[in-house]
Amino acid sequence: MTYTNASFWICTFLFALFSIDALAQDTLGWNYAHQLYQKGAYQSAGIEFERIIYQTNHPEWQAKASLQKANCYKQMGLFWEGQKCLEKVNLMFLNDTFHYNVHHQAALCAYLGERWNDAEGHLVQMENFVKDSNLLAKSTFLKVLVYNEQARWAEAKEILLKWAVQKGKNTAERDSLKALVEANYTKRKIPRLKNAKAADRMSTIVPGLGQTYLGYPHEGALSFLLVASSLTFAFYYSLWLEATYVTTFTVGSYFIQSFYYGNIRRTAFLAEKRNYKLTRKFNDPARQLVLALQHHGS
Amino acid sequence: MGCFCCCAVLGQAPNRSLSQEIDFARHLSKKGLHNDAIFQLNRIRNQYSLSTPGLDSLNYFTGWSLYEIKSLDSGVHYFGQVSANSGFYHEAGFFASISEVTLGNYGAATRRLMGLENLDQLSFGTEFRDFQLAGIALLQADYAGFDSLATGFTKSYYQFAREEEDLMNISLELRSIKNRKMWKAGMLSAVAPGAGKMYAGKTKEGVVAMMQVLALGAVAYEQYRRYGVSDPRFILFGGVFTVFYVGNIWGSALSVKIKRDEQLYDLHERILLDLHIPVRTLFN
Repeated sequence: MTYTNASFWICTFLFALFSIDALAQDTLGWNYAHQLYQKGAYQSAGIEFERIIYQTNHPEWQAKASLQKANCYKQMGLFWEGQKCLEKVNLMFLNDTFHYNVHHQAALCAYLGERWNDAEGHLVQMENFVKDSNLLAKSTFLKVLVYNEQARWAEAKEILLKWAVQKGKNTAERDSLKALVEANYTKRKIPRLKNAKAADRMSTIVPGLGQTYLGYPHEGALSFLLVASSLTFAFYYSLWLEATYVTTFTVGSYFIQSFYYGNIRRTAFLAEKRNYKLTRKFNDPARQLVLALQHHGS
Repeated sequence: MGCFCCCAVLGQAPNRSLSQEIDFARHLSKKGLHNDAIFQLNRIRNQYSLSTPGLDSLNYFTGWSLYEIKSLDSGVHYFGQVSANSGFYHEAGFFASISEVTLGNYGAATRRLMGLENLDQLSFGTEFRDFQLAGIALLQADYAGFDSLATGFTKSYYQFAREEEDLMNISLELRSIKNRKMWKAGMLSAVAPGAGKMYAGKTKEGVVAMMQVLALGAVAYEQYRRYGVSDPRFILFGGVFTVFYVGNIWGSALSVKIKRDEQLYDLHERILLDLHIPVRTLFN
């Protein structure tokens, strides 16, 4: 009978607490905002979450609403707005979980918006402020994705290997996960990005050489031919055969300057293009691997 | 049973008063979430039956948010809907006017300013309207109109005293822009390539043009002296020289207009800034 009474009062107390919380939520319009979100009315939902931020002075509710609002922005593809919304959250009096969620979501928005350095910045802040290693572990894969985009593949690999050691339930699973990571991050697979400065210097010394180094030999040959033809015209035909000095100087210098500097500018563009292609060739499949590992881990 | 009823209403759109809704729209606007503010204001318009003061507030804030996202023509529409009895009437009038000026609709801006009622309710009202009208007169190169309006500049309102002074200076600068002739620049370039551009005030461009045309002329002359007039090499280089020579004459004539447009553009931008800043200082 005593136990029955105690259970009754505990249940009543918990139910009352739940009801107060639910009522507080509803007073703020939390459930209405959620309903809008679930219906896919993301702009309306975002406004309702903003209303919660406006109505309450409670830092936790404000942070919760900001996180939901950022979700609305994410759904609308407005990643920069989502990141800005989370960067305004006052984390001063909030616990580790909020610090983690806000920084993680901000980093995710930055990653989706292709602002890799911003994403890294949020991950670094998160590591500095969040003490709970279990929470930090949840951002492992996002960190790997960001490092991949920043061409820091060795560090990304190291993080994944560490994760494999921690997550593997037994030696066999650990070994298989490590082997999977090793297989995808081999020296052969990791892109060796072209040195844009070196390519620029090569093309400055020998027109077309930079393009050839970057993997565009046809363009390199064409550049070389154009500059060489201009020189031939200037020095052989005009100066040697015809002795037309003014024509040599004027026309020759015009063509040489155009083709020579054009070749250098083109080299800079091709260096960017080649490195972008190399990065994408590795990072796109690597993203699939990371997502598969995350799925496995969860 | 009571708890059940509480749970049953969870998730409903909460009932809020019109003033709460408008305050929230203002909050969105203040936070720079102008698109959200416009969305919210439209929702209020559709959900509530509004009295004239409510509608005035709504129109003013909608106009303001549209103005902030640079949808000036739409903003003007909403500012224009604010009635003369509203507390936002004068703000809306001046913001509508400055939006029209920014859009280049000087006539419409002047009509809006002239149509503003009860300006004596504002201590600076009449002088500020005249200041705006004077700026519009300058933008239209109506110097007589500017002079007559500028006589009323007291420079006693700190919010736009500096701008009044600046408008006076700009009017002197506008009057001092030399009225160079396009035909004269063309003639000068025909005699001495590049001289027309120097006359227009583009000295560096003139020097470059002169070097180009002279170099091509020298090439054509060399080809003529060496191979004769009927040789294809002379025809080719002579043709190139002719194109550059004639092009330079045409370019010199145009450069007079371009230079003048550039000078006017810079001064017009300054006038716009001088008209704009006090509107925001006074009414923001």
